[in-house]
Amino acid sequence: MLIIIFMAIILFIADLVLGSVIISLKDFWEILQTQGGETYLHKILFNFRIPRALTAVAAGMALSVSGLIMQTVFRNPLAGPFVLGISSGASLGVALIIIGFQAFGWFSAFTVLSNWAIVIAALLGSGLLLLMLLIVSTRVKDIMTILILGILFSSSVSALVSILQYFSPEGALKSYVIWTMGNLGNVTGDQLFILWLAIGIGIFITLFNGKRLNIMLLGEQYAQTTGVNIFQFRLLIFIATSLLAGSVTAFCGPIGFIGIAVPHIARLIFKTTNHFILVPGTLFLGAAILLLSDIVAHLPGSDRILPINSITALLGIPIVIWIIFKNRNLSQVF
Amino acid sequence: MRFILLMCFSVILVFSCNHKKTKRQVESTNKYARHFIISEKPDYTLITINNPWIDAQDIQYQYAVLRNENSKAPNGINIIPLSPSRIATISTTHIAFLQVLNELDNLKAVSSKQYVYSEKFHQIDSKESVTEVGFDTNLNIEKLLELNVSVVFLYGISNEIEPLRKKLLRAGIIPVMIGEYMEQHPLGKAEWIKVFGAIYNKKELANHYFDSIANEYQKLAQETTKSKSKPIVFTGLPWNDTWHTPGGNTYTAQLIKDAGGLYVFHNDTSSINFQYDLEIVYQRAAKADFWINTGTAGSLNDIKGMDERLTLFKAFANKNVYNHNKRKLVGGGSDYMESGVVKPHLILKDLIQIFNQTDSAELYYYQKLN
Repeated sequence: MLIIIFMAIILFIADLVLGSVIISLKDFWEILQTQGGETYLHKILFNFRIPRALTAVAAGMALSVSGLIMQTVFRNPLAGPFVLGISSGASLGVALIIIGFQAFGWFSAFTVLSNWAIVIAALLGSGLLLLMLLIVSTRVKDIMTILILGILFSSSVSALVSILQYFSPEGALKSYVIWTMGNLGNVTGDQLFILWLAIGIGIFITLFNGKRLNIMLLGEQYAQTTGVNIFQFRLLIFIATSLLAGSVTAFCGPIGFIGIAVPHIARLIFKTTNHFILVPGTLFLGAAILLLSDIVAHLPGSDRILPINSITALLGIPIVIWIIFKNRNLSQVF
Repeated sequence: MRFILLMCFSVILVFSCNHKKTKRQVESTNKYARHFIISEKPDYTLITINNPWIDAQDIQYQYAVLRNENSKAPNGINIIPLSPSRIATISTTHIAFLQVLNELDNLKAVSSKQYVYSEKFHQIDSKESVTEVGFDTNLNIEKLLELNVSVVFLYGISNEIEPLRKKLLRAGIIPVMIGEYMEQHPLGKAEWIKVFGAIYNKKELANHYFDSIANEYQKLAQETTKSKSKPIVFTGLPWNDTWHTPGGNTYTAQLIKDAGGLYVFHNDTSSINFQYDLEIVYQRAAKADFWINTGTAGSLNDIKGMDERLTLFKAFANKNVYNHNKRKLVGGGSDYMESGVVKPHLILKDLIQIFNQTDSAELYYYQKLN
């Protein structure tokens, strides 16, 4: 665990100094010591790098932990933070304001795509879909049915997004597609505070439910016999997931892969199913992996950047394949 | 049997490749435009369009405008009907060309009316409704047939336009590929008026119009060479941490240069738009004097709302931010995008006024953001 925390800290610093403009460690140290400096390196560090690295840490932690609890609750190794339809709901919200308003000539307050407009649209979209799923889940006992319903809801929302895409002018389509590729560098100031607040609450709820998560691995019926209130538990976990994955998706777009892969990597490293170890482990591992992806995406020394989503997948998939070959089986815990 | 099949297949291959084969380049008489050539043949005017999109290599489309109804053109060349009176277009820039030649009333269909700025167009539309036929590759061909359209002016951003072009040909509609957006010089875009002039048999009018604006443009550009100081200029807006900005060898870069400005990416030699990391643009443009072409942002607050960090630029702090949205409709129609193609001298004039900080009320396409 200490090694992973150490790794996360090193990667955090690396993410601050490496980028299109490479800051030497000496300069980095000097900038940190001078207060209110006005050099452009100072501005780049405080206005671009630090917010981005803090966002990467927050997003890495949130997605990995929400992936972990979804895998536990649904007892399915393929579950991830987005099985509840969070990313498709957010996509619909964002597609509506980026494409819908242009394609159907609804111009009003949204001719300019302000940062907040996108965040709010994403939150409304995912909130709406989650609410639908919650209402259904009070009527459905079986957790697998909820999983399937979540996938069905997501698919129908994706179909709506496809229709919007089909009718969209090229410029708007490109803006939307770029949004779906994820981005860590757009969250600053108040937004960063809100993101961390939402994630803090989400992590707190998760840790608070650590014991019940451990019991859930033995099956819902068993958990019920030990006195776990299944509905209350589900509600809490769904709220935690929507805070964790929902806020990240709203601020950074749908960042894939981390949420599914990191929990598996954590389970294999720590060789345990105890959530009191797994949750902190996933938190730091998720942060470290997303920081690493961010460094690679910024192609240190070059003028260009790559979309973060492609990097998380390209970087993460070989890791998972390697682990599978080493351990042969990912699902023994379920 | 297999041999026969193979033969048939190769014959099909040979024929389908034929029309695109590179032909010997004819000497162009154009002053700026590089993507079309007009040459006179005894029986017809030959219009050759070369590489009308960015990745196009050795792609050529040829059209013949016959001298009269009895003239003939060789096989394989698309014949454009004489002064086509029922036409459609998928680009608003084509509307500007047609309007200069006073042929706008032939236009029966466009992609979307809300994106058209031209007052004249909307007048015509209110009298006899112009039909909307969809965007780009989703063009509604059945509708075009119903409207009895004989020519569609197209543009392509990749060879994905090919299936549509072939479908139109099969429907008996002549797709004319217009590639003015590929020209890197503002006058190169404007010179495409000659293609429309050839189609509507108004060559003299087209040449005269082009020569007069080219003169005007060059006169203005000549004057800026006298001034010693060059204001530093950057353009565009970031989207998701990435800044989309034109290369150093593009239309926008040329306009800035001719207006006496120094574009922050002037050293770049590319002729396409580029994505830069926000940090890089900040590093290069933090101290720039002017910020122009701010996309959808119509006020300083819009820019701030997109990303708080954009206020760090000196041009923002000094309120030296200008956008070409003075002549823009609520629905999205932008006159800069539309008539700017045929009036590059007015764009240049605006930029010169901006860089010299003369009265901003005089600007035609641009306005200062508040």
